[in-house]
Amino acid sequence: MAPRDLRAGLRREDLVRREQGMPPAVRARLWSRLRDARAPKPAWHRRPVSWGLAASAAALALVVFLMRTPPPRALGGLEVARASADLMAREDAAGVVIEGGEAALLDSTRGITLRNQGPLVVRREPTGVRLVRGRAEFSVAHRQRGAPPAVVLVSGGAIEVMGTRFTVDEQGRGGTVTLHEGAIAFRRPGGEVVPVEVGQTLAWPVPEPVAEPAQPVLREPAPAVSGPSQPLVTPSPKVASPRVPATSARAPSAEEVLRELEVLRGRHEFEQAARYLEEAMRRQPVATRERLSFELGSLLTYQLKDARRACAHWALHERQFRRGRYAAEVQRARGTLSCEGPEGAR
Amino acid sequence: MSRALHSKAPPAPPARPVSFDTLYEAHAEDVYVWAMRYAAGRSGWAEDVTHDVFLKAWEHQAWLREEDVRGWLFRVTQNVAFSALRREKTFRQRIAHFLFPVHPAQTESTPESALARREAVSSATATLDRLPGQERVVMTLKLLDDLSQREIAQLLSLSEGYVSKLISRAQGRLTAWGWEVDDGSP
Repeated sequence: MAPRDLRAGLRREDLVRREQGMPPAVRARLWSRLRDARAPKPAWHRRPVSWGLAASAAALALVVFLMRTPPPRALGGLEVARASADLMAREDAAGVVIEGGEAALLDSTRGITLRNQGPLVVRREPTGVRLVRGRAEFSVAHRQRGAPPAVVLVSGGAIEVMGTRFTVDEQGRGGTVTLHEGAIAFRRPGGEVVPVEVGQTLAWPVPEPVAEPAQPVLREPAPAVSGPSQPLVTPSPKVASPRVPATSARAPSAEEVLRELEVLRGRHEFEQAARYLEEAMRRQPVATRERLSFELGSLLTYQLKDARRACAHWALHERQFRRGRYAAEVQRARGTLSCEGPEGAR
Repeated sequence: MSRALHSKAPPAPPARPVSFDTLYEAHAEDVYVWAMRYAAGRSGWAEDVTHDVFLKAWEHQAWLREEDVRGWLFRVTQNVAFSALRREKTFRQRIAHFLFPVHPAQTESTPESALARREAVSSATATLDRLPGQERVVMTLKLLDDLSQREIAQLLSLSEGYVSKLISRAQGRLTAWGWEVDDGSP
């Protein structure tokens, strides 16, 4: 058999293919595929891998963040703002018991932060934070004028704070408070208020003195010239003894008295404010006493509305401070009360 | 395929670019028929090649000139088909070598078997389809389009020596299968 010509055969068959051409179905399908391929796609659709990677990275970052951020711990209603690694704390009926380590507990509602200095028991109460036992340094966020004070409850009363830093050492039946910054007032269960100055240490309990209303014992800081300085927070058993007379405490300044008066007025404790003023007036110089006497009269006249006591007080005030600075106001108050004569109402 | 496209710097964009719709309407048939030369009867394969060619045309339409577009499409079709066959051959060879180890070349031991083989390759296109992919493209360009070895080498971005070797091998096979391959081209 003679060999066939491949070129001629291919050309013949190529002509046949050309005559057959492209089937209409193939043409339509091809056009559709090309149209889909040319259609612009959304950016996110074009790069699904990038979006997947970005989502994975975001999820990973979120997981790491959540794992690194410890959940806020709370003990007995107090947030644990900081805790040492060796902190041993538990809750029981007495409150939060810290047996070892260091912790900063925060009462965020009242703005009170306490740091333990050794083992302690502390409890959050409706009226404040009670230090049941132990030693702790307290920091209280500054309060606006008129706002109620933060209260730290101890066995001998309550420490009212307007924003300060102080250390409390509670032994169960007695203890001390040492003020480092700001101002605090110690309120005894009977209502008597003892302001505490910076550097002072106040001890409780204090026996009721015979002649004067109960006063917690105040100790002045050791003078700088009297040898090596003593730590303020270390009370001397002799000085902190309840036998020390209340008169050893330094008289509060007029500003302190007025500040305390403002606190009591803000809390509508007018009777206690009147008693506090009567007590404070006795230890003030004449110039200051006139102002405090006027405040007492105003309290009796306008807040307590006790006409008998008010008229008697105004009569006494006029006798003590003739041609005083508040003569006009005193006369107006007496007119309001219809006080009779210089001796006051009978 | 794209080696030929990027071997030269792109020409300046024409003043009036070719509309893609017009391009497709005018040349889709040609491209498909060119692709069918190498498809070994698989219309789907030819369709895929045509699709790829027109996607390239879409990408380069800003640079295409109306008077050159047919030649450009022809070159791209040959390159796309050549690359597709080369990939296909490699994959198929791996599978075939794995499943069916190479045996010695068959000999026409009996007249019956020789007759059967002759009948199987009675069609020229069917004969060409039996060639390896690269040889198939080169021989088609040589026999149907009358291209010289140099032109084929330029078209497919191959060396002239490699094209010559492919042609020699293909001619040997075709001669063995009873076909006459004239070497009339330059």
